[in-house]
Amino acid sequence: MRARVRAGDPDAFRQLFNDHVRSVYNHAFRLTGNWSVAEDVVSVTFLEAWRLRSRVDLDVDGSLRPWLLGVATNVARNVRRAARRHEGALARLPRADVVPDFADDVSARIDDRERLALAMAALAALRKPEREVLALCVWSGLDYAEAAEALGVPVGTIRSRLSRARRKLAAGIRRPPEPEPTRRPGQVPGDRENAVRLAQENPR
Amino acid sequence: MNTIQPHSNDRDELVRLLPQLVERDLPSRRQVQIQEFVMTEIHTHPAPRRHPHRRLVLATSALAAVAVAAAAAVAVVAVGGSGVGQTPGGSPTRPAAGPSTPGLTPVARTFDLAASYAAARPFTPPRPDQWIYIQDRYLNPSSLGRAKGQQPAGTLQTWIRADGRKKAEHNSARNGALETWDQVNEYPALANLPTDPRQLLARLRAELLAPPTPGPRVHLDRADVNERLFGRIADILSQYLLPPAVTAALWRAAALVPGVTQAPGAVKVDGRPVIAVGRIQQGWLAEQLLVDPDTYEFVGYRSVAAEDHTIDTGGGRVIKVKKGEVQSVSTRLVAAIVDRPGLTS
Repeated sequence: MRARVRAGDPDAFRQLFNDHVRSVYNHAFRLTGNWSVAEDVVSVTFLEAWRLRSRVDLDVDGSLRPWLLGVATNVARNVRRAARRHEGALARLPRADVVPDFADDVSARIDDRERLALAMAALAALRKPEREVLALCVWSGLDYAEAAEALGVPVGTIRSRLSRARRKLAAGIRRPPEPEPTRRPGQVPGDRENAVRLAQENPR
Repeated sequence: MNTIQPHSNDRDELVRLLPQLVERDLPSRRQVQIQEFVMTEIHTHPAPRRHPHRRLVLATSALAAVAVAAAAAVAVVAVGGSGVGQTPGGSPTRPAAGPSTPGLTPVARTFDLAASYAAARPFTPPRPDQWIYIQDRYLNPSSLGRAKGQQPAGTLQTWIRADGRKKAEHNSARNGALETWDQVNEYPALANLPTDPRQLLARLRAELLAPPTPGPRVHLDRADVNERLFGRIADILSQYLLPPAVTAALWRAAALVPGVTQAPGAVKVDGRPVIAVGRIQQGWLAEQLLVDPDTYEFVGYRSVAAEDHTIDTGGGRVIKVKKGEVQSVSTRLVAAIVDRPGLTS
């Protein structure tokens, strides 16, 4: 797969998209906090991946997912400017009929929503590099070596960023959570506590 | 056997601390749309292996274009030298216009005056540990921008380190805290670009056609190359503060890209009059560099619909972009070399 993508095989590239679009989409959301921007990150990530395909390392085995998540991380960092490079192309991208929004979700998903809000609040306390490593290792499930490959940094850097993220979050999580900025109709005050308990009881 | 590592439990601990997120899929029709979009975009530029001869033809015609451009550049430089008053101290007076630049197209004249202005700026090359600070204001006024959730307007401050290794920005999610992280930038390479416009253009063209690392070459037809070449020059001018000789060469190289035209009449951007010079990209979107009509200093960049354009969103829905609708604008507020991130002068 690596060799075929590197060689510019469109079928392999289509396969790459199918295999990893979900990962890229969710990773992009965790970094940008906006599903609509995450869609643009998905589009630009695959355009960038095609442009940068000659950099695919053939000496490494395994999935291209870490590499793609690394490209997506870079795109998300510069989403305003990276999109500039592909602005003309993005303008041709059909617009979503409905911009996905939590408000559209049915009430059965309220726990997901709360967890997400909690997670985003927690991440806001982190520096950008820590947040990126955390998103890759905790939520995208990369190991340290894969995260290092994705970001192009030494494994030791991944370790130290994760360590700092853990210390900050462990300190922050004991503080009472800040009030949610946009409280929605019908939401009861107990939801947040329930969500925290749920999350801590079922970490996986 | 596993080695015991001092921090090996950080990840597990984080998994315990943080809520586990449920992943969501793109809506299936949206996913198909985006996939088809990406595949169409990349099929526009397939791997060139089946067309070795076309590649050669392209290379040859590119060289021919450069040769023609070379003659033009000589004329531009010669005229430009007499067109701009220069005090002994090196600061430019207001460039002379009109009669002193006969025979030049408005585009060549504008970019030449912009080059002359840039060439006369005082500049001390940054040490590797210094930072390039760029502050610009951006506007995303279009319906397309709104649909993408872009902020309609704002200010962006960016620091990149001159050794090409680090970047810093304020993080709005952390009350504007300044964050510095490892991220490569092109400053060292760009600062050493050729100062001859022809050589500069040839270099940028070659980089577009050949990826920086060994690998399959990208096939682009001539229109693609010119489109990207202008976009690349606009990017470099917008995002960096380079040595005056390089900046001047970039302006003169931009004038050599086929298809570059000057917008007729006065253009107002964010309340101020500017000269807009650019190129139609993708058949409908004018990508323009903006310069001050009096001093010819770089003002910024904008993209504006040059034609009515309809974007099919699928499902029978369309966005109609009207000719003249501005898509995005960025104007430079500050560009400076500073000692550390956070400083603005």
